[in-house]
Amino acid sequence: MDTLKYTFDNILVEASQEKMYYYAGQETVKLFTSGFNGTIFAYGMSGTGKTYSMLGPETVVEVIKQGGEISEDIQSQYGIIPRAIRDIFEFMNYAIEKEGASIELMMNYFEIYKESLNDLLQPNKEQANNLKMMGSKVVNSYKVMIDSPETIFDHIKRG
Amino acid sequence: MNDRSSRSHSILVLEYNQINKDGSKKNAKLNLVDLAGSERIAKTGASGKVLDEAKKINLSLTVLGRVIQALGEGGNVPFRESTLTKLLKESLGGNSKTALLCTTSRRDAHLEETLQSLQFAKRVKKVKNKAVVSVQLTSDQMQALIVKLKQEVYVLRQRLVTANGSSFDKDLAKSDV
Repeated sequence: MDTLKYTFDNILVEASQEKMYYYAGQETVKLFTSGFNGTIFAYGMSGTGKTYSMLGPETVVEVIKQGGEISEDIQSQYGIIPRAIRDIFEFMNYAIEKEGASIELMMNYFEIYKESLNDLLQPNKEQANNLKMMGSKVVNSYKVMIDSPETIFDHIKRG
Repeated sequence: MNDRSSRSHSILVLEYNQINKDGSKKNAKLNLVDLAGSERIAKTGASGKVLDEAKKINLSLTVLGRVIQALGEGGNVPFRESTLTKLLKESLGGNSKTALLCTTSRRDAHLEETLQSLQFAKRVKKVKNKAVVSVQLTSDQMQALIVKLKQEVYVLRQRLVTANGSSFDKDLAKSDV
């Protein structure tokens, strides 16, 4: 039988969400709060766990969508995005309280469906689809200010 | 095929702007990208409208693959050929710290897709990005930095003179930095 060898930075098999964040998210998020641009991609065939890794299992997504208090058990199932948000706010609060910095966090949420760039936050549905781009900048995107992790969840929910 | 969420790419963008007490600024952008499923069209038994849709979904993923290949191995990079690669141009081989998380199935039936995903991840690993921190200093801070750098140059020139002892270097040590 033929053997193919691949080398990657990390290989996770049935790993906890915490481990997944530690290996695939944390460094990029830390650098982001120090002023580096960052990107985290999830790639793979349907049903192999992209959304599970990025957001969490259905239960987490449901709880986030319902809003309100989120139990520790649910938080332990958080994927990369809610964990990143938690870390970013922890850092922001520290910089604001201890260092007197002023910080602004903005959010955009897009979907690309059949090559059309759609704005998931735009409340005016007539302007939500087929957004234009100038280079890699999106023209007239609906950007929202984020002041708590809950607001991000609220927008993910609407998106 | 799966529901719409697995047939579309979703991109959450966070923009961070910090102004420190001393007036210095720091800003950055974070893209959190959940791509559409990378499975082949043939296997899903898609036809007609669904097939047309699958082709369009695949376009962004196909171009992404070609962009990654060109970035890793050289050649023309076709960023402009799909919406996804246009939008994420900076994240691909540019000023960004980029991580790829690749999910696979362990079932034999999915061997082909798994191999294709591993191949993609392998190509991504070859791409070298140049991430730089974006911090803007105030003019006072810049002045202070210039003074500090001037002093450093002076000290280093002095050392050169001591090491070589030539007259040319002595002049150099005196020259304005």
